Amino acid sequence: MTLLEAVNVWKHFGATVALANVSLSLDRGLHVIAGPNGSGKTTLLKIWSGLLRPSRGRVRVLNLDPWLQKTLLLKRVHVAFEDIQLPWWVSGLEYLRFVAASRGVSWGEVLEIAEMLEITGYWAKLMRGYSSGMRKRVLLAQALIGEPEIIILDEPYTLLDVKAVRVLHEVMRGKLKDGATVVIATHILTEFEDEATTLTVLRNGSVQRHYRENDMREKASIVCYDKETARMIAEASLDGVSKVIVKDGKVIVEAEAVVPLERVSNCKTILSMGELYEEALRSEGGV
Amino acid sequence: MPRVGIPLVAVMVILLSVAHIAPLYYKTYMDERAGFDEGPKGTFNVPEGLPLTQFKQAYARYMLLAQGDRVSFDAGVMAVNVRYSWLMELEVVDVIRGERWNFSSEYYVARAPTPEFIAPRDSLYKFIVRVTFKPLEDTARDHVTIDISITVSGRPSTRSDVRDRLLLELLIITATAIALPIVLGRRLQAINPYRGFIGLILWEVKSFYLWLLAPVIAFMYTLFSLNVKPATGGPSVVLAPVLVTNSPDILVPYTILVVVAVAIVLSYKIEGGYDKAVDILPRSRISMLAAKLIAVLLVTWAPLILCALNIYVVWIDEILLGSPTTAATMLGYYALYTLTLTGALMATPLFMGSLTPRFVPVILVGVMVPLLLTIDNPLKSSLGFDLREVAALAENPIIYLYRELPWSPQAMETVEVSRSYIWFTSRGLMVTLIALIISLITYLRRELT
Repeated sequence: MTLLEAVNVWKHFGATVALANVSLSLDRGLHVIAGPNGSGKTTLLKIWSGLLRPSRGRVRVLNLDPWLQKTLLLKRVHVAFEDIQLPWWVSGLEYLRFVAASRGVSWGEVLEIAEMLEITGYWAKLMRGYSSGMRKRVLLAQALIGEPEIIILDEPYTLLDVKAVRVLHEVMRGKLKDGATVVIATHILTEFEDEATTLTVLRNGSVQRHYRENDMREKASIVCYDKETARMIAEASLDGVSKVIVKDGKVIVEAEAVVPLERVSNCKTILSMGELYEEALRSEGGV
Repeated sequence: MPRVGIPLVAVMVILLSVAHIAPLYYKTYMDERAGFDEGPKGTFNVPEGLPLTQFKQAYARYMLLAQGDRVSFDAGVMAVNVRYSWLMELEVVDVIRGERWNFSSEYYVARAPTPEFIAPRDSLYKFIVRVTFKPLEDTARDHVTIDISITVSGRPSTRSDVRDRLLLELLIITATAIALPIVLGRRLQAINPYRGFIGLILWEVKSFYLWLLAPVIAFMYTLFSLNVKPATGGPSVVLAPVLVTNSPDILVPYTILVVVAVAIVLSYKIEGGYDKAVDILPRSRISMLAAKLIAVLLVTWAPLILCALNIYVVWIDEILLGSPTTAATMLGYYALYTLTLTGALMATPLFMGSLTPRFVPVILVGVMVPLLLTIDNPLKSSLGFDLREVAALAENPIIYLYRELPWSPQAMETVEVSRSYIWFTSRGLMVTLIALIISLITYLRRELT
């Protein structure tokens, strides 16, 4: 089932063409939209969020028209954008209370996310005293609270420290496990993005490449979450295995071709998004 | 639930600022003992050939009086080329208690001794004076000129209780200022105040009050201090604070300040991306705009209503409890008047702002138009329009002057009837409506780009 859809979408800002005939459909899962600065990532996400109206084309999210049914949509879709400035004249706590009341989210759910992102220690203070990273955590918290069907995050990693990024990954994994769809626009690809269902590379307002999970077997890696299994894989020296890395209690096996390790328990095929992204940027053609 | 931070500073600012104007008011009263006078004067020409049976002029207004205040009503009628008599009717109503006093007398000379009213207690009184001219011979045989004047004068009584009452009020205000955050704080901990549309308004008020309320209150009270003049025979002695609240000399610069401040705050929030923190929530665009406008009106109107309330509460403590509908009506007049003026003043900058992409500089330029219309210099005459004069037409909504001409439509055309509060308000509200529509266009225009 298509959750987010854009068909022949154009967006102009005066003489500037931000999106040029973009067509894209995303189903359930984790979706990464990558691209250099000015490629149209944020514009596309804002159109999907009902914050911008497309100049031309058809847009549907959860079978709703985002622009005309913004209120309904934003009850089910939580978003965070890089250019949002949180009001410095209130505390993070008060802003999240406002968000919770607007979305009908229980305070317990707010508290859970706030504690995970470690903002409860400072959230009673006015936001004017926050660092950029502290503000970013509050902004992300408002998008992650409750039970959204879709979470749209624009450049979620900027201004965050390593620990916060790890926590954010943990929260997003939890949301994905609960059935939510996560759409991330970023030009920083972390290991979390390697778990994505699709990777879309935008360039100059157009879709340069759109990779689906099944399209990417050639660049697949295997992650095994069980040390014993990984050891067995390493010892077996299977055909096609070029490299075995043991890191953070995980064993990563890099292969030149598809390795049928998914049959082994606690192993999962993942995509190497960083390589795909670079390849897409190097190429000149379209989808 | 987490502990909620109470805007203690805001509560204190409001309450203490309310206390601040009390001495200003009482100072005038305690130091001055002069009277005041005012009243409508009218000349009416009856052309030859028109029969005139009677001609009536009336005057009515509300006055806040303390016990012992004296108000006298003098009337005079002078007519040329006709023998006449005139009837003076005076009706005094204690609005709070519903008590009435009536006086009626017919006179055959131009001037005659007329009654004086001594307020039996602190209260709000309504005075209605009717003067009816009655020709004793046919007016059609010659050109007839009638001059009618009604003069109201008053003398405030000595206020020995003022100091005691002021101290008590200050004590109550201080106690409230201390108690309110404690009481509200505990209650607010249990609820989330931001639910629904009211919650959205509260959020917007919270966004605005820091920016607007404190400086606006300060400005308002500065104007108050400058405008509470010694009572030297001006028209506003007895009701000085009430009239000052309504004075165009205060309201016009006040509203201009408000318009500039609102324009800057709105633009800052939009350009700075602070509005986006609300845009991403499931609130409709129209409710967000409505909440903004309501918040602006609430915040900018608050100082005026606080001043008026303070006068009522401090001076006549029975008014809110004894006659809440009257108090609400009077406060409603203030609200309507302020809304009208604000809307009219906001129209120009909003219109200019909606036509150009950069809001802040344009709106600041736009606000110069109403500002120029208030300047006492040749520019005013070259523009042919003085905003303060227009605003003054409705300075006191309760004063009205009218003439009853029961017989001749031709004659009615020649009578210059003062423009009423309704005249001002109806036109002002139309301008306000246009301003709101323009602001909507401005807002949506931003949304669409």
